Amino acid sequence: MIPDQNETVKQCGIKTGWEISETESHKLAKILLKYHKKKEDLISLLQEIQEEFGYLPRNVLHALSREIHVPEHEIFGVATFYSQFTFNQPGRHKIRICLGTACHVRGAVGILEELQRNINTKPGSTSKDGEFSLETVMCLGSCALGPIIVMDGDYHGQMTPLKVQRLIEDRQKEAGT
Amino acid sequence: MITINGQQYPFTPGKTVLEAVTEAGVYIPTLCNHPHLPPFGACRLCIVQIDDVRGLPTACTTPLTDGMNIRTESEDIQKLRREIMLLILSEHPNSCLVCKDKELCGKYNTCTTKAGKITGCNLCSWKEGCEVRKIVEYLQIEDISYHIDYHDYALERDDPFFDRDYNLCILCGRCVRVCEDILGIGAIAFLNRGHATRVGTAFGISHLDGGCMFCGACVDVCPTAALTTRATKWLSQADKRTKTTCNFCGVGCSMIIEGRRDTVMRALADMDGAANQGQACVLGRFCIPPFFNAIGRLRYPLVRKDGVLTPVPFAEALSAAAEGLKRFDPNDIRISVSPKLTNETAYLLSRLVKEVLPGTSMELNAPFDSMAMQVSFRLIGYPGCSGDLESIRDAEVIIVAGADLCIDHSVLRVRMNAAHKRGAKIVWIGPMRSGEIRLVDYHYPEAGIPEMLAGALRVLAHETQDMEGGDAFLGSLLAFKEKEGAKELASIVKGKRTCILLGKEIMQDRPESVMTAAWDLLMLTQSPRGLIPLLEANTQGIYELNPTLVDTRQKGRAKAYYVTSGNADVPPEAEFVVLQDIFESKMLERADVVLPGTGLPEDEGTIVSMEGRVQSITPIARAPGTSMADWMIVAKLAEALGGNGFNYDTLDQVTQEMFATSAIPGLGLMVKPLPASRLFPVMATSNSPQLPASAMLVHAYRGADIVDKVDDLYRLYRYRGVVK
Amino acid sequence: MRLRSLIELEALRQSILQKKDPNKPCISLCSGTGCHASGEKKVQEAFRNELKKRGVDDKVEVKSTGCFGFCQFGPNVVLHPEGTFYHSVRVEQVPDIVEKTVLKGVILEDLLYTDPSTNLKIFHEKDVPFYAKQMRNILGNNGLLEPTNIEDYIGLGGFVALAKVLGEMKPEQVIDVVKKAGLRGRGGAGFPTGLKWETARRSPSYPKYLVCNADEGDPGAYMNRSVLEGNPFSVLEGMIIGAYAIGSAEGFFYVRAEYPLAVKNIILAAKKARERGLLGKNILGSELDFDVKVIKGAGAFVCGEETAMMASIEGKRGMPRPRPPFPAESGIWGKPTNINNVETWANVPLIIRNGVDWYQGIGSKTSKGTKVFSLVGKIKNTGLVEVPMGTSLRTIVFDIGGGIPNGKALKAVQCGGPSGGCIPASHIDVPVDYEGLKELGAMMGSGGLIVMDEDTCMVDMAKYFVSFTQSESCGKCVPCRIGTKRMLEILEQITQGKGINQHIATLESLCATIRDGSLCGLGQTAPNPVLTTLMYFRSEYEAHINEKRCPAKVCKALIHFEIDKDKCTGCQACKVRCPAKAIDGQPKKPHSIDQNLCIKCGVCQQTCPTKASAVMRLDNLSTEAAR
Repeated sequence: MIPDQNETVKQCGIKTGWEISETESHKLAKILLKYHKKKEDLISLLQEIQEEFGYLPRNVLHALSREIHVPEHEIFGVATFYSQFTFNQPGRHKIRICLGTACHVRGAVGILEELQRNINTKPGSTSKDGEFSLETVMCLGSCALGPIIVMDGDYHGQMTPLKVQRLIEDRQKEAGT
Repeated sequence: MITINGQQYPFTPGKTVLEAVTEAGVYIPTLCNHPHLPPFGACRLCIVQIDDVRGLPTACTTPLTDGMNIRTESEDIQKLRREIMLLILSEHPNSCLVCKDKELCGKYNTCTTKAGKITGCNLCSWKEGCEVRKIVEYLQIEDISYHIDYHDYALERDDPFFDRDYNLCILCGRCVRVCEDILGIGAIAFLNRGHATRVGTAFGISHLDGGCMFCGACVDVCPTAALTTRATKWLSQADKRTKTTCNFCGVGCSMIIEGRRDTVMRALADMDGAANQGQACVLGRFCIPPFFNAIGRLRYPLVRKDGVLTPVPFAEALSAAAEGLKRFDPNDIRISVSPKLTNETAYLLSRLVKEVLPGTSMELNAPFDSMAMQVSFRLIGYPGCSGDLESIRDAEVIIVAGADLCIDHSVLRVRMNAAHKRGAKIVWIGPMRSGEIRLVDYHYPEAGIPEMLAGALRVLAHETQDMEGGDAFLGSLLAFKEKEGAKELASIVKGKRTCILLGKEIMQDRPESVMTAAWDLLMLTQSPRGLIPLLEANTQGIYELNPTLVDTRQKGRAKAYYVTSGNADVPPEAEFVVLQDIFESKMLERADVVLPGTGLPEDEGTIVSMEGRVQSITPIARAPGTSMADWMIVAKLAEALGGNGFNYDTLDQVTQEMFATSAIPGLGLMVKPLPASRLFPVMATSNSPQLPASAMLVHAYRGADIVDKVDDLYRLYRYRGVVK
Repeated sequence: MRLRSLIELEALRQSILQKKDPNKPCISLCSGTGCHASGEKKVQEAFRNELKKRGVDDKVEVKSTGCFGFCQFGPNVVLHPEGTFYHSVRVEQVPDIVEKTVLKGVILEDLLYTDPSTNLKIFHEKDVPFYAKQMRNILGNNGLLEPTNIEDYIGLGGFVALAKVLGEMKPEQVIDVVKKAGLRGRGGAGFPTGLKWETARRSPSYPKYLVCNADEGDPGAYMNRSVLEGNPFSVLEGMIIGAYAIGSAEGFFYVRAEYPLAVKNIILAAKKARERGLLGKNILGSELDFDVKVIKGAGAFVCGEETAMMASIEGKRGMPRPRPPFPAESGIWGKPTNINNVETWANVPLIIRNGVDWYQGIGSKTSKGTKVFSLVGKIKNTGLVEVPMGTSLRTIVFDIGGGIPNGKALKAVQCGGPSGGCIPASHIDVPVDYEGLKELGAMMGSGGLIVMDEDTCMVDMAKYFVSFTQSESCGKCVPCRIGTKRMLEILEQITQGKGINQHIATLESLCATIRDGSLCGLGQTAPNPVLTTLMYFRSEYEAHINEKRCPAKVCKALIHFEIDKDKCTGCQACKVRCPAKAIDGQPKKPHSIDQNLCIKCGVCQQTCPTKASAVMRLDNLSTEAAR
């Protein structure tokens, strides 16, 4: 039986206003069922939540805390330790840039700077217009193609600052911005 | 045998190198280590050289083996320690630590220069106690050439009781570890990674929102001024300190209180405390100075003359009280005993009643305690808990019903956590106001505790084997309605050693049924030591000394009242009222004589905790005005009433006499006999007047509510929905 | 379906071998992530469609196999049974390939690899110089099987070793063989594997856990990924053998989340193994119970460290724990745990199958067997290389790697990633084995070899590695958390032209503190890149500090861009693209760059047409005017 998360929050008397909607509750319950609510599987649970919601929503983490009996601070401490997790809604286009050594040697730093200039956002966050979110990765394992960025799952290898400008421009044209 | 710096010492298995070296009296600098916490190995200062071990291992994490040859100091070791310390200092405000004029700065500088942002020892309230400072001095660090990094975290001062300045934090992790490992709460955690690591809460929410109990354990273990007690941090140095026992609740935590010029200044948990094992709660840790130093203390004896309470000398007040009481038949006199009174006071009161005013009735001003003592007496043969606090730690299932472990008896959480870590299951029946996320495995939030327990009993009862009282017991269960969750509860406790903690909130609904059902449950799970009603400070002691204390709600009204708390139940038609208390209260409107007594920091004597541990209370402060110790007031009042043998010079005389003649034999844990195995029928109804939750949650000390005197506590209780 | 005994396994193997038609044409496509990124999937689809169109899809097999290793030149295709090797295959070329080569046997010379040293075309995979000097014991089968096809694996001799172990050997014997063979951990430390297994076996408590460390975090290293993606059964077989030897019933694969294909393949491979009774209870009818669980890493390099990995498996922050106690005594949940790298596990079946003597015959005196390296960076043949231990670095870089592209000179090779050190060109003949590299201050590490040429600034590389370590440090212990930050600050100052003489001494002192004081391997080896670059390239540091000059012209603060007025045609291309609007000039007239506005992004140099090549990257001591 899916417990009423909001009721539990009220019972616990903690005034946070982080209620969880019914759809969110169902999604969370499905994930929890898969892992038998074991707290040892916390990282896998967080991965599935991020997969389902695109990021780690605060209220879902709150509900998770009550379901697996782990204080939310510990969950937050685990989530902030690992680079994979984000607390921001992802942009329409997800960009990952490889900063591995092979790519670095081939000029990845310049690519990152050009990217940041063009989409006006820092790694780990989403641009204000919600179009692009940027993430750095330490090696995608495609060193032959470096410097490499992955946008929405498509690999763009042998990048140059010029190619970055063109790539972003194309996307912005599509969006009509 | 092991060798430390060339000297031989005996080998004891199961220890770490650090423990062995410390026991041998040799100094090793440590910052992240704490005797009560598992080793962490983060600060790297306790490095040592051990033969046949590569590099410089940390003493705190290395297990001791027989024949080890250990060197705690060498040029290499000191050099590395110094470098590590310099790295720590590069991120901890260190002007003053390396100032060549630091000796000239006086001890009290910090108190005259109060600053929010601390950039050096001269502005730090923890200058004297800081462990970073001690190690800098030991390593003789005089200069630091590294780039200095100030994190510039915002000061956190919005939560009650303690301030947080994480710019001073050295990430030793003691606070996180004590909150998680010892208390089992986990209200703070390490966040982020690498250089961005810090201690904090999820999404930066306040500690109130985050489930913090404000027990102060983290403040106690912090080696720097990152965590400080707001109310007392800028007070100057204490000139006295002593060990005493907190009497805010029945756990009986051993505390160290500090005083200056006869005023209590600070309270810390006693690491060697038998009942609390180094822990305390928000009341004992933070509320003792603010409460007892609050305004509204009664200072002078008062007698009503022409309708107005007038200050008089004590002798006059005592004779006025005596004269007043003598007008009545003792059967019409009622004495209301506060559960905060010491044994000696209670002993003298019992003598007063027996010898001087025979026929006087005595009641305990604590409805839950009264009920619990009466019922437990019936169930187990003596009043009080059926076991000591270790039964909590040893239990396999712990049921908490009707209690709010944030407000009262918080320290029991430590044992609950220890049990939980070993695999015990914790069941919580009733509203769970605080975030007991980690500890509680099963939560039944709705009321109907008698139905829950009765339902579980019905399931378990099928296995009843010829226990005394079986048939009547089984029959009584039929009167209870089905309750969801009862079956699950039965399966949880079946065959497990159980411990049941009963709190004040069971007074809302058939408390006698709850207690009886709880006892039956313990019987069916072979857990005779598991009945733990959460009693007040000295309820146990008072009952030991006055076995005839009655539940006077049945007894009826009296005409003259001698009350020791301002919130005692005195009916409007009472004709004469003597009030002996420490704070002003509404009772002043009714009182004919007012006698100012003493509170915890001014008290001397003994109390018996809920588990039966007799402990001492030692004073550090002087009560205001011409207040007199409660025991002395009773003794002198008895004399004024014509009693003999009440002429004591010292408290010790009373104590010794009490030990010799009463049921309390001396200091220490009073061992109780094993109760007989017996099942009792559970009453379907009870005569107890239902008391609302709000009445139960009020936390009174004598006649005053602690919440009214300590603002931060009011904030905390208000947040938890305990007060409006 | 389920194999209930060794005999049934052998029978299955024979039936597979019998069904194999050695003459049946087969198109194998490398489906490793590198070729995948280059569009292998579309090429595969094109092949299937083309074959279907021609009605020969039942006569010609299309196999998507594991990584061939020749990543620079993907998508790679090998046509069996001839072994014809086509590289950089595009979708448009597929119909031609099918019509001419597959159906008619005609070679399309454009698609053949040309040996740059002889200019001759190479027909067969094995003749490609890249492969000729390699000994592909671990990676060899990658091109011959579909990664998650268990029958392919069995047909190639898979599980022969397992059958031998279960049928003929006692657990202690297995450990003995591994010890005698001299297998050393391939994850970096090179600890004798047999000894590790023995300690775990001797531990009295149960249950015992096995872990496959697939958290390959070294940037530039992807050997483990290729093995897991390409031949997951080989790793599984090694683990099952290990489980038997140690007495474990539960194993974990800890795989980086950045390797989704590896995760997918290992989960699928485990499922297939389970269906066949090669995982689970009573494996092949024996007493052995063993099963595996796949756990994805969540983006923390430090979790490659054993104790941090165990914390992560327990659902906690990946903060390392002090040792003792060692994982083999007390690991996950306090139980004995044996952690080995992917490549180590993959070595095990080979050792059991071919014997101690065979293994001892490969490699150097102290380091036996082969090692897989990822050869990346400024190198012509980027890819995965497998050679016997002790092969010289020169052979790897020049003979196999093809040398440095664009005519540049080799400067150094970084071995062992952020925990390793650089080997300068002067020491290029060093035999690559554990001890050989250690003597020079470097480390084998997991096997990443990053080749750097004259255009690489060694101070910048040191800064890069320290910055990596800083961002991946777990933050628990003082020397690593704070020490690497202080080091990074100094390196940043040096690369920004704010270095002072004292900095080098401070760096050296910090290196000693961090190396000697840190809790775990990440911290203890973090100073290596700095120490080795200081040792071999001190002059570069001194140039940055004393002359404010970056010899390789990399450090932005110490270089500037100028337009050669003689070469500039005034096409305005750079002016349009300049993000800082720093270029000024009239059409058809030479342009100039305003140094005050220039942000040194280099877009102008790339935009400038090759014919003109008018943009120059200069160090701050030289200007056009000065020349």
